[in-house]
Amino acid sequence: MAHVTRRFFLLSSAALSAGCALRGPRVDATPPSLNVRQPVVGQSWRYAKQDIFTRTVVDEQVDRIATVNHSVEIDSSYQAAAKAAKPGWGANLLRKYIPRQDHSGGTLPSEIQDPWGMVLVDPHWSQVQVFETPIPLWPTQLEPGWQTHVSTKYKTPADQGALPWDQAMKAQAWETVTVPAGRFKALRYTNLIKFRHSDFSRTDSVRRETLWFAPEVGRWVVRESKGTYYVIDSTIVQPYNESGYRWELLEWS
Amino acid sequence: MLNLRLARPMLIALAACAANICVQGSALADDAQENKALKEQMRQMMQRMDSLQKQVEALSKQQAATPPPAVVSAPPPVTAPPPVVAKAAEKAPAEPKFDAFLKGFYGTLDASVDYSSKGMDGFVAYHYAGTPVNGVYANQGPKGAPGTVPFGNVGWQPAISTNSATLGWRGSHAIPGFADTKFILQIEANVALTDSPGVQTGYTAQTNGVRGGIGSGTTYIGFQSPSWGALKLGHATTPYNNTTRRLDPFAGMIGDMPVIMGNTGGDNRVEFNAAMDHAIWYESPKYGGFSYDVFFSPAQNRTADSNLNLAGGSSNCSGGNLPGSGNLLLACDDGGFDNAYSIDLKFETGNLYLTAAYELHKHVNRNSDGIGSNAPAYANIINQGDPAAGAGGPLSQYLNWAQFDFVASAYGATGSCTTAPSSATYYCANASPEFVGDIGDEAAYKFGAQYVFDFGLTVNGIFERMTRKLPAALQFQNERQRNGSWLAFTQALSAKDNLNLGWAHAGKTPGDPAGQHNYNPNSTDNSAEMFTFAYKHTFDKQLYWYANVAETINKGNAHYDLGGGGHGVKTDCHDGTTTPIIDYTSAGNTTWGGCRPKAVSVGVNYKF
Repeated sequence: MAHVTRRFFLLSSAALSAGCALRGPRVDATPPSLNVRQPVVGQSWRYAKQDIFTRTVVDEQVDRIATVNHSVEIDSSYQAAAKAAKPGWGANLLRKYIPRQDHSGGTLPSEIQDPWGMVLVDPHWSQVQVFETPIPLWPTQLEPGWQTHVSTKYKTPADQGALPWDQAMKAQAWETVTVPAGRFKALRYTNLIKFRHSDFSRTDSVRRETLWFAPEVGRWVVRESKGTYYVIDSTIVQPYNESGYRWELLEWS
Repeated sequence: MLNLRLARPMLIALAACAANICVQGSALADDAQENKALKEQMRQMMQRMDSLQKQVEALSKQQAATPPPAVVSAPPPVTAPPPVVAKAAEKAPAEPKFDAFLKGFYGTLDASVDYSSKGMDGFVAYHYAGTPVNGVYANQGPKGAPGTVPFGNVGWQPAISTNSATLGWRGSHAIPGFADTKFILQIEANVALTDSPGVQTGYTAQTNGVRGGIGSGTTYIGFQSPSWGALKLGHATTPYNNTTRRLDPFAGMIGDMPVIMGNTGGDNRVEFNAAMDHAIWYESPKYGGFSYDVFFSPAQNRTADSNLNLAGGSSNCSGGNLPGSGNLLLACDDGGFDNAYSIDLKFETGNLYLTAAYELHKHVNRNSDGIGSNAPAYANIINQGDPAAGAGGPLSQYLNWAQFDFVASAYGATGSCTTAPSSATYYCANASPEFVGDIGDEAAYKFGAQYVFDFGLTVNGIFERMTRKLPAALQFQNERQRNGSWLAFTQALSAKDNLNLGWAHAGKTPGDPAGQHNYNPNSTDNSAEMFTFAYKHTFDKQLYWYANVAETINKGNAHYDLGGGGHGVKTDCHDGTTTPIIDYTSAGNTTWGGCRPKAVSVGVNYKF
């Protein structure tokens, strides 16, 4: 084994960090028209929802504005992804002996923005979350460098106790993003969330999100959400992963 | 998942609350401003009720194989549920308690294939003795065979290791009359994944702990509340350990942070990383980003030194060894201690995490460190003579001559070992007395920080200081006092892959007990470095594989290992010496200072 020195280690670390820092999406500093599409009943967005680890499409999700008054209510439904893989030999014969489970589609809990752009009921995490005070869904000022910090509480249907929710949102850069729905100039922003989970044994729960918000679409064209936590007071020393997903816009109207 | 039984009364309560607000609003209609505010409150309340109702419906649909459409437009009445709801309830799990029981299970399975070397090829042990000239002891030449060179297979060797595998169950129980506080419990067992469960005693560590025994992991009962925190009783790792856990991306790997950090004497046992028996601790909630934990483990020992026997109710000495470890008679003087205290303070904001921690082990008994010592300073104390033989000097008080003579008598000696004919007996010729006053408080404090950059780089750093209070006459063998540093980088390459680099540094210590077979009293630098590199690839949220390459570079007489902490198979600085008898002369498994353990390890980790 090669002899490792402290200098070699530090130089390697610096090189690794610098190398990784230089990669990343193409930055397009020119901001687009900042007129954000206003919500109207019937507007909809169809997303492909991918497992962030396996990159497999879990389902397709359709978000549709149901009501617009002081608040905006967005109904969601999902359609299971088609199995593209060709079945192996015997699959057709065995299928009749396997209990049928129909998960072809269904409705999801609604998202409530109150007012528009500020989420009060957020269904996109593993548990529906009702916030004590609405928190921004996207930067209120669409310019890189803008940031905000929100400390509030939330409840879930499974736990009526108010749990702390601490979220830092930061607008990063205007970027050109290509998704199945087209090519968009979008503001990339991040959410760093530290919170207490309703499962008492979870500690150091952290969620990280990266979103690309396209003003002309009035919603994000890509959203990536993932999280980690530790089991408090356990001999398990590695962090656990939460389910992580990536939503890509397929079409919008 | 939403519990329908809870959701229904909740909706009813919300409806009642809304109605109440409506009635109150009518009564206060004179005040237009207030009325407007109340109407707004009512609108918001109704809106929340609607949203919660929709959530109930949606989740009900997910639970039932065929969603009952009627529920969408018909909220459940106060008295009797409509048939569709009853139908949905029928399709709900028949045994919710059993479901809850199953959900309580969790764990991790981690096993690796290791290929490692102790890094002591070519080592030769020399004998040093006499009075130092200008601080330098004379080299008397190589020690005689067979101990001239390391014994056994100390080169590259494959191994299959279980690493921090755990199976646990946890749950909570609502306490009638205490809406904010729950009774909580957790039972954990370390899983013997690649070998047989049993007592973990080997030739380098002796313990009565049974791997795989229920409760061998962190186990407790307690009370927990979101408002005031948690109070727990049980067996657990300490706040000092837990607070920097997240700064260690190599947890459980062979090149893990505790190889150096929290490890006062090198070798496989990590003093400030251990789980403690019979403990009580408090975990605070967060106060504006701050939180803290306080932990206490009483000695539960009534022996003269407060720590010479098993603590009441425990199977091990405090510190993790069994009585007799350290080549002594059945006593806890190989690191057994009295009361233990641990505390941490944490602060978190945005991408930054800061922590400070302190831990104190009272009256740590290390009298066994003298047995078989190769330190000329130790020999000089012996040379002052046995008071029982009419000799002795000012330093004789630090050696337990009385016990030494007592044991020697069991081997056939009469009177003092230092006089003929007893001096010719096997025990007297090969053994040496233990210390008497090698008992002192050991403490550690540290500061840690973590910062996560937006481009996926996580930087972790720790500075640590560990101390041991001893009389000046015994400082020559104090290897428990030093500084330590840790620096680790994790760079996310994608959502599934990351690279990790780590470096740990152990500072010099004031002394050394000189148990190493090749101990060199002229060496003044017993610091050590550990370099570790790992790649992790995640398959999904539960499963990942990793490759780890690590090397520990021990200088002088230092003997830090690889694998200390959570890795199952250790690659340490002991050679393959074995003895066929219970041995009190430290002639058993021999330590070689300055070794350079190195390893490659590939493993897989699964969590559930």
